[in-house]
Amino acid sequence: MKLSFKLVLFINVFISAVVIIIANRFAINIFLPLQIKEQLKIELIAYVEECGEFLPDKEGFQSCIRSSKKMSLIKGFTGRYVVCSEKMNVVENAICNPFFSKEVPWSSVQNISNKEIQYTEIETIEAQWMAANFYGSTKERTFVLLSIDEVSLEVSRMLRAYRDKNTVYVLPIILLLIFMMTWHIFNVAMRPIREINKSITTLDFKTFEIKTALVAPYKEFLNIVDSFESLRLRLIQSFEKARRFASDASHELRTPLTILRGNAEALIKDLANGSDEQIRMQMVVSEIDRLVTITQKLLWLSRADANKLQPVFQEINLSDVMGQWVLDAQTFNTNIKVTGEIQPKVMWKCDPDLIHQLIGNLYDNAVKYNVAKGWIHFQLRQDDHRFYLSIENPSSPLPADFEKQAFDRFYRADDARSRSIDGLGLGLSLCQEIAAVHEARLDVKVYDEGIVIFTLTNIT
Amino acid sequence: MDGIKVLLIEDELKIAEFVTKGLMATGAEVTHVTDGATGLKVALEDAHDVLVLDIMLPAMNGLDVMRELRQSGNLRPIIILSAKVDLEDRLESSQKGANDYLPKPFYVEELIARIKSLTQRISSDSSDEIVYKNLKLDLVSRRVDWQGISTILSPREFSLLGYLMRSPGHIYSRQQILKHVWAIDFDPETNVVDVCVLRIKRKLNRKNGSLASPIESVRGVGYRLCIEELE
Repeated sequence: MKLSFKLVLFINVFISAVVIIIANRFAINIFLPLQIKEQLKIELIAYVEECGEFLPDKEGFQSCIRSSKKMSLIKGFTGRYVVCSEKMNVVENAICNPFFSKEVPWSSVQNISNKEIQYTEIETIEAQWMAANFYGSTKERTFVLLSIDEVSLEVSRMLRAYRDKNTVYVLPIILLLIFMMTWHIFNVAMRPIREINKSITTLDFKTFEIKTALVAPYKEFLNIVDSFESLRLRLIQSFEKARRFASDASHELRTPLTILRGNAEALIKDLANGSDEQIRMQMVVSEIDRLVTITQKLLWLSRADANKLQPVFQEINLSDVMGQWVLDAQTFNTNIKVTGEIQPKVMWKCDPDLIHQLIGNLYDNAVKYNVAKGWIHFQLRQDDHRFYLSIENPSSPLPADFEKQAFDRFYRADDARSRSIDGLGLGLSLCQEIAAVHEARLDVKVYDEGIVIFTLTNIT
Repeated sequence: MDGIKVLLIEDELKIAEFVTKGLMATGAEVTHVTDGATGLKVALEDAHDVLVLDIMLPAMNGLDVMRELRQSGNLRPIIILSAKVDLEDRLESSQKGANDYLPKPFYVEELIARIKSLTQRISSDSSDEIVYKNLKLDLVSRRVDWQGISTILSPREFSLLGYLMRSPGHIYSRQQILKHVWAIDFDPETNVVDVCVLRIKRKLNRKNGSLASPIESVRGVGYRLCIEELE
């Protein structure tokens, strides 16, 4: 069981879309803290600028921020500010200490006449801090610290919470969109394949003609289409050559065969009746007749290949034809028991000569490959407008590929044996061609104990 | 076929040779020409009873010869001999005025039978009987009358006897009989022909008990209508 390319393509596109979405989420998790930190810095500086006057009065500073018109992320975190002042003897928090050291790399952010704002980040054992230094008119050093980790964690947690809350509603929509997009992409990708497929499936295996012209829909398909086309043309050419050869050969053979048979016939007439010479000459004629039959079959096959096996249709009573066949077959060979089960009044529009040829070949086969003291069973039955004509016989062991290859030209089930039997493996191939021009089907089935059944059905 | 004039237009000398020989053996007069143009000229000048014409001819194609002849009002029977056996060729031949078509390779005996049938068709009425000396076959009832015996044959038996009567004295092989009577061209490894002949003999012998029979078996070759018995 082959996987559907459709399904594989669909699953792949779908998985890619999902992977992209998940990757996006991971990327956000990495970049979000950085963005938040940047935002915090800007806001801290802005608040210090606006409300720095109140420092080191923490209460004043906080209420100034709260009453500020600026909307911000950290407004709600004003309680987290740590205010440090040089002037105050009692330092609010031991965290302030490192910032008083000379090594802190303050960078100036703003420097206006009466105030200067500096900014720095520092890492202590406990956490990472950002600090805004403020020199007011008193030129007194006061600064505000904010724990980056604490605040950014809190902020990203909040953002994530919002996002996750949204996900419940948004995810199905996203999935649906992915599904639709995948469907669309899939259709776009399949279109050229479908077009090529549509064209190739109109290929007639007998003439190698294509009903719908094969055109590459995109440049990527040019090579495939070109290769296929040149392969097809090559096939047409070599097939035509082979066909013409068979046809020419069988035509060319006709003249020498005519001369051979004509002279042999004349000799038989001249020789004394019943003489050894006459009998021998009759054997020559028999062999010539065999050659004639073979060239005739080759010619029929080459005509079938060129779609020139033109049947002359005529409504016949198939039951009568088969009844006669059973009667004849019963007299043909007394070593083979012939039975028939013929449903009456089965009518069929066919070429009687070709069908006679077909049944004859099948019968011939059934006789030649029969077992000793064997039998042949003819059956004709009909249901609705479908009839089944079968010829059944026991056969000596057949190769496993018999069912598949029986109708192949020049195929012989058992080389050593069929060589002693007449023929080139053309008969069954011809039978199938005859069935085909009647839009009928000829099948073969090998059952247990070597029972072979050939069945002709008037449905393809 | 005594006195029947046959014009044979055939470029293959070896074929023409045995055809001429076979036809002359039946008493026919044969004129042989090897190319189409001469053939047409001879056909227009001389009065032949039947024209046997090959299709692939030098100087002028057989079909063209036939067309010219028909256009000039010549309605004599024409039998086409051809290596081409396609249906179209057959149809084309009959459209252009051929009375019969014999694909190569053919039996001379078959050609003789066709010539006979064509010349008789023209000279006599199409009767429901085949008669040869004292052997009479009724095509409608399949009744055979011979030496005071009158019996009805089965379709196969009747067809076999009728086939032998096409050319009395000529030996038909079992394959030929099988092909004509049973319409099979393979060898069914059968003695059905012999059985059928035996049945005919029995039916024709039943009453007077004599061993005489209109059919003679030729050892190792086939059967023929025994002309001597019919004298």
